[in-house]
Amino acid sequence: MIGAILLKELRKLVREKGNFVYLLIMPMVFMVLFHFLFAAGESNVKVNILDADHSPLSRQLIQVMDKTPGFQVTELSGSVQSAGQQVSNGKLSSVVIIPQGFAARVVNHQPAQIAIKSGPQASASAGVLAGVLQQIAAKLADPTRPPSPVQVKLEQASGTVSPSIATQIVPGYTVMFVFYIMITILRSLFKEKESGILERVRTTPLKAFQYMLGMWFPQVIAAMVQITVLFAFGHWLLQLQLHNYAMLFLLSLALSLCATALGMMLTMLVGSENQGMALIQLLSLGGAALAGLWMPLDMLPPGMQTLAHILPQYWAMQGYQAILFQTGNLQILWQGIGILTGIALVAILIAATRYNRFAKAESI
Amino acid sequence: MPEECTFTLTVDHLPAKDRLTVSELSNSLPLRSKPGTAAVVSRDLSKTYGHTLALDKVSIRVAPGSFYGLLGPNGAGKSTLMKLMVGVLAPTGGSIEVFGHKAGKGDEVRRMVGYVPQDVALYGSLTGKQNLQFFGSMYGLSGQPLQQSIDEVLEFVGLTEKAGEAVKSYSGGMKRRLNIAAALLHKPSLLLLDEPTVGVDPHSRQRMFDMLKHLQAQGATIVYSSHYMEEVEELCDTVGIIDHGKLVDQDPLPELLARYAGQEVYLEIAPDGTVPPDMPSWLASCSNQVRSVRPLGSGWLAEAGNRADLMADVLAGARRETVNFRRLELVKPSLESVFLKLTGTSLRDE
Repeated sequence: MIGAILLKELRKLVREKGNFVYLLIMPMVFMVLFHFLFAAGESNVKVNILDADHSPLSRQLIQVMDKTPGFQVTELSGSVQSAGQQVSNGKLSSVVIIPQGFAARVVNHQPAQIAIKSGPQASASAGVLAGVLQQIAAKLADPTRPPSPVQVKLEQASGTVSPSIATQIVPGYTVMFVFYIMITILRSLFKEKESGILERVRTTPLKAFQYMLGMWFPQVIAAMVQITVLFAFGHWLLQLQLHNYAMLFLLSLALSLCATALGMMLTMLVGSENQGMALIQLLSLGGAALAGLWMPLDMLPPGMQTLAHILPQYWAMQGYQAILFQTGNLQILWQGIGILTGIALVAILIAATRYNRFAKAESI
Repeated sequence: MPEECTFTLTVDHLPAKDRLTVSELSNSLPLRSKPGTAAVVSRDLSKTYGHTLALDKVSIRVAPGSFYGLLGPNGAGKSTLMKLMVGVLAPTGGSIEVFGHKAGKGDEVRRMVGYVPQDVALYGSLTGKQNLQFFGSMYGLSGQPLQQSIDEVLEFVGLTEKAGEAVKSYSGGMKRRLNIAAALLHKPSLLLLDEPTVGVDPHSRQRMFDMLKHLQAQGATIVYSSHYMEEVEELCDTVGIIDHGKLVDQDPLPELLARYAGQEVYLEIAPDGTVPPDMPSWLASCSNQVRSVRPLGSGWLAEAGNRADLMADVLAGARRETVNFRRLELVKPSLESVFLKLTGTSLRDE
C-alpha cells in the first residue's frame, strides 16, 4: 500500500510542472545570478584582523585600515591557528594576521610579513585588500629607509581546495531551495484533504502510518533528485569541485529527511494552507539569511551567528562546506548529519501525532 | 379531464440506444452479502461539531439488499450520517454497526463497505486507470486481481476507452462515474453514495441509475443520500427522512406515501370561464372534503379527505355555475408532500 501511495505521489510530482520551477529552475537562476554578482567584486570589503603583535604600530595599522573607505574592520581574538581554521571551514571569508614581533621587525628594518588567509568567498577582494594593506604598512614604516620591510602575503586557507564563489553559492542555494519542498508537501496534503481524497482513503484498510510514510518518502526522493541536479548544475556550469561523494550522499539524505519531515510536521500543525505558506517562507528565507546561505556567516552580527546554530540550514551548510573545502573536519560533518536526522525524527513523530486531527472531517 | 398529471416527476429518460442493457451489464460485479444481519443499524446516534448538534439520536435500520434513500435538505446531517457509517467520524453518542460490527473498526468491515463521497475525490492529473490502481491498492488488491477488477469496473461504468486519459479532461458525468467505480473495485457488500449526482447531466445520471439498480439486483445493499426527491422515488425501496439532524421517519416508500402523502387535487380555471371571486370559499361550498386550499402556479392545490370525492363534487359544482376548468387533476402522492407533512417545509425551498 505504501508503494502505491509512493508511486502515485511521484507521478503527481512529475506531472505538476510548477514543482520544477521552484525546486530546480529558481535555484539555478539564483546560483547563476549571485555567482556573477559576487565574482564582480564587493562594494564594501569586510576585513577580519587578528592582531597577534599588540604593538602601537599594529594598532595604528588597524586604525588606518578601519578609516579607509570601502573597508569594514572586525578585530578577532584567539590564536592564529584558530583564525586560519575558521577560514578553512568557511566560518570566515578571510582574515588578516599581524604576527607577533611584527613591529620589532619593522623597526629593525627586517622583513615583516602580514598574511591574508582567504576563503573562496573573498578570493576576488583579497588581492585588492593586499594592495591597500601594502600601501598603508609602507607609510607606517620608516619612510626615510626605503624599501618598506612590510610584505603582504596572500594565502589560500589551509587545507582548502581551489577557492571559487561556487563553493558558497551552490550549497547555499541548494540548501535554501531544498526547504521549498515543504511547499509541495503542504499543497499536496491540503489538496488531498480538501478534495475528499484523504477522507476516502481513511475509509479503506490503510493505516495512518502507511499513509504518512507513503506521502513522506516520495518527497525525500524528490529532494534527493533536486540536490543531485543542483550540484551537478554547479559542477558543470559553475566549476564547483566535488569531493567525497559518500559523505555528500549521507549529508544530502539527512538534509532531505529533515526538510521533508519539517514540511510534514508544519502541514499537520497549521490551520490552513495560507498559514502554512507564510511559515514556510519565513523558515526558508529567514533561515537562509541567518544560516549563512547567502553570504559568509561572519558578515552577520555576532548574536545572529549564535542564533544560526538552531537552524537546520546552518548545519547542512557547515557540512557541505566541510566536504567541499576538504577541511578534514569530520566532526562538524557528522554533527550536522546527526542534528539533521534528529530534527527529521522529532518532526515526523510530531506530524504522526497530529495526523488524526489534521485528517478529521468537519463538514456536516 | 386533465391530459396528464402535473405533479408526476420523472427523470429525463434516454433513448433506448443510450441505456445500459442486460448484456452490457452481464460481466459486472458479483457482490457479497450477509443475509440475516442488518446492513446498517444505529441506535440513538448523535454527533456534535463543537456546539453544533449535527445528528440528534438517530436510529436507523438498513436491511441487507435494500436500496435505502436518505432524504433531506442540505445541512440536514446526511453526510455526517454517511461518515459515521463508514467510520471516518466517531459518534458523540449512541452507536452504529455495519453488518453487526462497529462501523469502521477493523479491516474486514472496511473491505465490506464502498464509500462514494459527495465530492469527486480523484486525482485530476492521473489517468482514470491510475486512479483505480491507487484506490484498488488501498483495499489490498494487487497484481492480476487488481487489473481484472479495474477492467471490470471500467467496463461497468463505460469508461474503458477513456481509461488512459487524465481525469481532469473528463466531463463532470464521467468523473462522477469514475468516482463510483473507485468504490466498487473491492466488490463491497454495502455501497454508500453521498449525493452522487450533483452537477451531473441527465445522460450520465440515467446511466448511473442503471448501474446502481443493477448492483442492487446483484445483492448489494445501497445507501443513497440525496435532496432530489425524484431520484429517491425512482431508485429507493426504503426511505429515511432526515431534517435538522433528526430522523423524522423511515419506512418502505409505499408505506410512507400511503401514510403521509396528501389527497390532493390540482385545478386551473380556463381563460374564458367564470372565475369564482374567492376560490377557497367556492371550493368549500362545493365539497365538504376540502381540508385546505393554496395557490400554486397559475392554479390552486386543494387537499382533501378523499381526493376522488372532492373531484366529483367540484365537477358537479362547476356544471351548476358554468365554471370551466383548463386543468383538473388528481395529484400523484409524492415524497414532496410526505416531506412537507413531516417537516412543515418544502424540500425545494431549502
